[in-house]
Amino acid sequence: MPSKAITQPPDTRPGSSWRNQPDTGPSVMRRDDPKIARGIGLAAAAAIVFGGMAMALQTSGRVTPLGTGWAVFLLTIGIAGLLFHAAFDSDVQIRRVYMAFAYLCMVLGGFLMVVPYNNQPGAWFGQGFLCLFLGLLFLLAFLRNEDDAWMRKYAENIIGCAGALMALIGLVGGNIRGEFMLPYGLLLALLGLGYCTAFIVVRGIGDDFAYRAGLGLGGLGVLAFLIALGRSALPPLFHKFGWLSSTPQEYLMPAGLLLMLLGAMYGLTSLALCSDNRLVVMTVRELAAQFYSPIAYIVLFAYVFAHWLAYWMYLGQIIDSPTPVPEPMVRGFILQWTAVLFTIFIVPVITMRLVSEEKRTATLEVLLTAPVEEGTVVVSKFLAAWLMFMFIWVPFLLFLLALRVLGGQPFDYRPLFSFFTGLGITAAGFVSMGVFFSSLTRNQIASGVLTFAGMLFLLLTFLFQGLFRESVWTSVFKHMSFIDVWFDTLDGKLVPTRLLFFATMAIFWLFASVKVIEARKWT
Amino acid sequence: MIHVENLSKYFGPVLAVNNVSFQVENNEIVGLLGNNGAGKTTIMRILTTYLPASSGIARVAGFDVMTQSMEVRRRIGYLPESIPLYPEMRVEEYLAYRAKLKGVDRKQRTSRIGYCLERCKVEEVRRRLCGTLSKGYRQRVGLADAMISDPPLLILDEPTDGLDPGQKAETLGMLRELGRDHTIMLSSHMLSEVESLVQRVIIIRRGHLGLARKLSELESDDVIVVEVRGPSDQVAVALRNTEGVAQVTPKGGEDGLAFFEIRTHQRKDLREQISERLAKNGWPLRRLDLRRRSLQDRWNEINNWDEFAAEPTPRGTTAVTT
Repeated sequence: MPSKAITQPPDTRPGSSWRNQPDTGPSVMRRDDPKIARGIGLAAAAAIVFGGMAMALQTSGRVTPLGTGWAVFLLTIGIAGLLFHAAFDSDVQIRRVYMAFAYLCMVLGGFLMVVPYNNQPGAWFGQGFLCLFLGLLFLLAFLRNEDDAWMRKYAENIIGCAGALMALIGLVGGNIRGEFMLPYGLLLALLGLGYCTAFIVVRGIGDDFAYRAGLGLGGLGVLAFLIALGRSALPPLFHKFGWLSSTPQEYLMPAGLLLMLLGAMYGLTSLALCSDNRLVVMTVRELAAQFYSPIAYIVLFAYVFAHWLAYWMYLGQIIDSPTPVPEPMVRGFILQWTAVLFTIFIVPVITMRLVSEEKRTATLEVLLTAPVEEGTVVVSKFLAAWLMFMFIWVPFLLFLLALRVLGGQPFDYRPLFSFFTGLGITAAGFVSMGVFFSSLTRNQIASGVLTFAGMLFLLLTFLFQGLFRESVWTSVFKHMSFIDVWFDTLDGKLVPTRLLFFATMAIFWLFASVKVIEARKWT
Repeated sequence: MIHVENLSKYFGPVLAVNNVSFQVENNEIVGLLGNNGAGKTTIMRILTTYLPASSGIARVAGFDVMTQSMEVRRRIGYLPESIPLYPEMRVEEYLAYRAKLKGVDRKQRTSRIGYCLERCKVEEVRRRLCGTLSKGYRQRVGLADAMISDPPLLILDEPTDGLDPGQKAETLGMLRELGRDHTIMLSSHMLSEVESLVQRVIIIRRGHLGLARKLSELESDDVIVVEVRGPSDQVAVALRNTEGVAQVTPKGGEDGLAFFEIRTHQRKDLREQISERLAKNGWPLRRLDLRRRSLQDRWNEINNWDEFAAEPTPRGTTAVTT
């Protein structure tokens, strides 16, 4: 049989040009139907009118059927509904109205922040902050639909300029005057970070200006961090060595610490946005994947519930206690056991899909045929899960803040530093164990069950200590028990040998995970 | 670009690839053919450094796939058969992520992604979640990913599988254009498709190498067979003197009959000129035939080769193809 390849001239072969057929797309594309968005927008506007009226009447001293709580609830729901409408209704008139509303919010916010009331500058700062925050959200919703290049560029530049201004005022002002830091400097710096991040993301990192802005953000963060560190640590050191005669004023709390935290946040945001380092790129993707799936939200909700439960139980104990509760107060939270029990379940949930999912869907094959080391894959997954685990402890801090504000009594916060150091190191041990079990199997459930068993064992090392009286097992179990580490750190003690156990555990499991992935290459 | 020498791969007791050797030159399109389970994907996985060989040597662009795996990975774009994508990522996000992993420079990244989106015809779905794409679109996104860093070698495991006929033709056309300055190794079951595209074929059967030759070499195997009644030496001279004849090989003869195999310059079909020349000399013509073996014939020949199953000793290319 004659072959086509031999007889047919090249020009008449099928597909001789890849441009020979127009791309028609997978299906007919149509614009989003704005009916639902408009319905929601209308309901949201009604909620804002009712909530706003109730709020206004109450402010003027009248009694309304809607209480303040309901008014705030209606206003929040209303604003959320309007944002939804702004994001999903691309009609040119509507999106431009929202644009105007966003600019109005921003101007009003800026004005409220600086205008004095009753001779008090910054009296309306909170309201101004809210307006500026809403202005950013509505402007982003507008940018989602806007196709006019000039309008887009204008809005992007406004976001960028406003962000840079707020970041500078927040960080520089917080550095100049410690008392400005709380709350003005902190809130301004946070909002500035939000604005700057939005600018860089909307512009895209391929744009040179956005890239430089990202680098600038990082530079500002590093500078703020170093200055705060220097101002917190150097004067006490100079005083100790006798180079400074007068006792220096404490700077670390709260201004120094807040500035360092803000500097770290700026630096990390810049790293996540601008870095092309494979470890950073993969960690960011992994972290984003957690938030794309419902897992992150379920876990976060579970922890909020756990901390809320602990908060109410502890509050009951404080109120019922006939004698003053001794310090460290923060220890009482952990003693409610809810966080401990939830941790046993949550570590497997966070880690079970990490490598097993990649194995199951074969994405590991494309990952490991790109120029990426096995170690980088494992460490990026570990980092993402570890950051996730640390992030879900934020509600714990918020409840402590509530205790301080509502209780009206200061308490010793310093054990929190040692606790979070201890928590970070023990969490590295848990998470790396999860990564290892996840790398063993394609089945998420199997890896989750194995990690749960490991966590249960670590919990039992605490509970079993009582069974072995003064035997060698007591000290072995005490070394392995993370609850003992938590209690020690809550007392302000960082015991290096115990922490070393968990740090070594983390290194061991990570090393083993790399070897498991490399095992496919063993012949 | 690719140099494979005595490559073998065992999966436990299963001998997936048995002593395979072949070479692929720069800017060549090569088709790796074979039935299901023949060992095509295993060879590709070894070349992409994902799996190690049990024995033998494989080099890509001069780098050993085992010992210099990072150098090899920087120079390849790989499209696996199952086209794994992250379902939660949008197409352009996925390509941006892959471009970062493959070290595409930040300044060129946006234009490179745009180029690959356009070239692989996935621009329409750039904002879609990878998890919602159809098979054909997944295939094209996978191809865009393989091309994103403009690697000199593309290894594509069944790149046209799952595409409709129009898309298939477009993809083949695109690969043909890419093949001008890239080396492409693709596997396929569709002989006609491969035949129209590749310059070299490698046929694998049950892990053995059946054939590894350039298509042009296969084509040069075409011969004109002549059987004529006349004096053998004089006929040979007359045939050699025919314009366009490159080589005349006597194949014996008896009872005044002479057999010849004739190879011509540029594979010209000279049957008419030859018959004219023989008639002019008054030598009766008994047979004049063009013997041409298509890739399909070779494929059938190799797949019917029972020795593969019975005898696991390695076979060189010449033993099978001649």
